[in-house]
Amino acid sequence: MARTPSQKKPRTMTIDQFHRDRSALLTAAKKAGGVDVVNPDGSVRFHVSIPHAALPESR
Amino acid sequence: MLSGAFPAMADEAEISTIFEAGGEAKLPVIAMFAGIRTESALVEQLARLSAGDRWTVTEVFPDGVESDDVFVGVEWKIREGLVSSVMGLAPFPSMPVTRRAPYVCIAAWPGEHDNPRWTKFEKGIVHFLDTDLTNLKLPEKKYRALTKASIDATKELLKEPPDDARFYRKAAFRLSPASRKTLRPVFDR
Repeated sequence: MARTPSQKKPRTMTIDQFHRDRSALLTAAKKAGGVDVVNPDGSVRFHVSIPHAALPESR
Repeated sequence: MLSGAFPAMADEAEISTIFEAGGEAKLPVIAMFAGIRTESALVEQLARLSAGDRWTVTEVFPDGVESDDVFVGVEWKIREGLVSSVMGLAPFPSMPVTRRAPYVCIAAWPGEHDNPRWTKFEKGIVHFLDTDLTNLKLPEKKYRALTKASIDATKELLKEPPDDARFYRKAAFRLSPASRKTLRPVFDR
């Protein structure tokens, strides 16, 4: 997916790390830009993030 | 919220790992499948999920529904004795308007009964109403107002054509009757 210049480049982790180290996954997902989980050939398999959103105002 | 964005299909273990991480972090989870554009592709993804021991995909029959559409329930096993009822979103016309989205998604609360304000829960199953809201530090009045606003908005959206949120309490997806045949082997697992 295309990113605008202001967006942070995501960190990467391997699919093996993703399954093995959930603490590292959560730490990386919390960072701006999130984390790309990559295949052994370096291609992006999927992206994980913890987006921050404000609560809606109740009417 | 912990979000996983998949450009294509996902293995059930990948989704389970994201759900487990969400449970550990006490965050709701959502998995978005940007590459799923048709009901048949969604059925293939549901088949992949049902291949895993922690996933259950069933046909559900909500009371009062008069339709040939197929209602698909999806549950993820959190631990022995507790499952999470998964919510589905999709860009298909058979989906209720409150569950239509640009991409196919599954979303869930992967934790315990962590909302002390929600007391009418079922012991063996969690829904989004069970979400731990501690970090939001919501005063009681604000919680009540947000809950009411959500219920009112849902009723308004489902008013025309007539629909009912109760139909979707255990149904993640509402698909066209044409998908029933391809879903049969998934339901039979």
